Amino acid sequence: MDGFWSELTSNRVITQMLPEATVETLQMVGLSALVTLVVGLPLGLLLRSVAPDGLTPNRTTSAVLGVVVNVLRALPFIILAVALIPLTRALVGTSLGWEAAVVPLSIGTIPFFARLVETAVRDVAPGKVEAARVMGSSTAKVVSQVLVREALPSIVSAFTVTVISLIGFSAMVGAIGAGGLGFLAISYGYQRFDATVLYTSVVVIVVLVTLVQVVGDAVARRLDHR
Amino acid sequence: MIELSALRKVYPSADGPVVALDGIDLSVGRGVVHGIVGRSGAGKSTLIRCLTGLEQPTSGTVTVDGVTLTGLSEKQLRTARRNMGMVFQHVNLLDSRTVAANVAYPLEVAGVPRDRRRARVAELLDLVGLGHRGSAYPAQLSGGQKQRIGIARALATEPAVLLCDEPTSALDGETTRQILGLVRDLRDRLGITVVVITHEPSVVREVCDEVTLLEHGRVVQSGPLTDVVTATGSPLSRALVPVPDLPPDAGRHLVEVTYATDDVATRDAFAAVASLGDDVEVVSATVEPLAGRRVGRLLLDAPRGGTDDVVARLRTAGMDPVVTGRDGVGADVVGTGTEGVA
Ligand SMILES: Nc1ncnc2c1ncn2[C@@H]1O[C@H](COP(=O)(O)OP(=O)(O)O)[C@@H](O)[C@H]1O
Ligand SMILES: [Mg+2]
Repeated sequence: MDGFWSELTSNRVITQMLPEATVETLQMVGLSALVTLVVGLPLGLLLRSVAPDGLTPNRTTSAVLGVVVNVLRALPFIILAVALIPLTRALVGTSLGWEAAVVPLSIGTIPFFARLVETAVRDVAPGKVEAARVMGSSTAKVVSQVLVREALPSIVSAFTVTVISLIGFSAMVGAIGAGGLGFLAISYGYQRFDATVLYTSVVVIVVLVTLVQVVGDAVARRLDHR
Repeated sequence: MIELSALRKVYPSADGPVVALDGIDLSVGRGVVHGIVGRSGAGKSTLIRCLTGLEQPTSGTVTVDGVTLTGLSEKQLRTARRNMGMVFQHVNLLDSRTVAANVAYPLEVAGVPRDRRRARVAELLDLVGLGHRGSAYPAQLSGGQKQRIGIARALATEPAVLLCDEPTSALDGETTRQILGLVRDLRDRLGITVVVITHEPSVVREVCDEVTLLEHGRVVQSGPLTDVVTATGSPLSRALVPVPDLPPDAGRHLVEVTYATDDVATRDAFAAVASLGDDVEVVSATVEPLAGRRVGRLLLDAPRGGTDDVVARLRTAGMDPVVTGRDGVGADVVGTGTEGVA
């Protein structure tokens, strides 16, 4: 144990690069999660709304969105990330660094999160919507005050799952130049056989995932009065 | 208060159009509790959805409290709906809101300021006897308590009309009686007009002043409760004044009589029956309180070929008998108690 601890504190990669890599991962995941929330939530609500049994059925929109979402979800993430390099360059100016990684990460998780939101909102009893409409609620109010609010515990759980898969994806984009814990684990742990770096990175990632899960569960439970 | 005229509703469907309402004319006066009964699929829910404007009729007009709903814009409809409260079988409270916030919801929608909302909610919760449960969540309430909250919410904007779609179908007998008692009490105190959809004859008996029977989207029978039950042999009379099962050896040609005590006293009815002679037997009968009167229904087994004679003699005694086969006696026009969510 002593030996491990001294190894940990004397390993220059860990003492100098791990904190920075952790911050990069947090930035990359944090910003991607924000973008996913801001785009994915409305997209999920739209998917639900234009469905045949939604509030504003629209066959064409429903079909087009469905195809786009399914195609994006069907692609393995690492392939999507590589395929998006030109787009990333166009948007960010480079395909390297954590800022650039936000593009593939967001595009990869938005459809996933949108589908989860759609499912969560679909589970809200139609009777609640009908009741709100009889009380004179407009469609916009029905969406925000009934659909989103009633599905909020499920939406929070969906977001938790999404952030956790973002952490996993962020390690993958590390391999193609995004930096962060994934980069550290692969370039030092895998390519230079530094097991301490590899396992320390893994432990940090596990701690992050656990934290997100615990916080997500607690928030969902607080919101759930069913 | 409510006027429906030539109301038709046709739904498109994969296998051709479905005629849910086929020319309904109906008028419900202020302060009246009007029951709508009929089998599953008869068009009851469609009728109530047309009343709320959630469904636009294919043709015909709907007028509620002087406002003709047909042809209104969505925005005008939303305003018109504040004059209606609706109570649902599954209550449909918002689980994420406290009981008080649920009752406040229609007031928020109507733009009532917060302090007035609070006062009104307290008043409404007291009205339904749950003044102490405002901070609870719906999941913490029993089925009957939830429906009370559903009723409080429906009354929040002081509507002129209360629409109830199977309000007690998910509740047990005792809770049903309490909820119906509340509805009657509200009508008496607030003078509100109530439409109750149900498939339970007991609900009609306990709370309705008038009743309409729908079948395949048409009105089959309609009128004040006492009129329909004393219309001997009519579907609603049979559904609302059920008699015990006939003995297996009862004949195939029966004479049926229904009366209310205002017309014929039970003693006189029995005397008239006794005078028919030894070979006329009472095979099933009931006398029960209904609409503030006592209503009796008798089934007589007449000897072969003697039914016309029995009918003629009962008529002389001031009754209105009909000849019936034993199949029609218990005709279940309202549906069984097992109807689903529809
Ligand atoms: N949205 C709809 N689309 C197509 N058909 C419908 C719709 N709603 C009701 N119907 C049909 O209209 C008829 C009447 O239904 P409903 O009013 O729900 O009857 P009830 O409430 O008496 O059971 C049924 O045949 C039903 O299948
Ligand atoms: Mg129905």
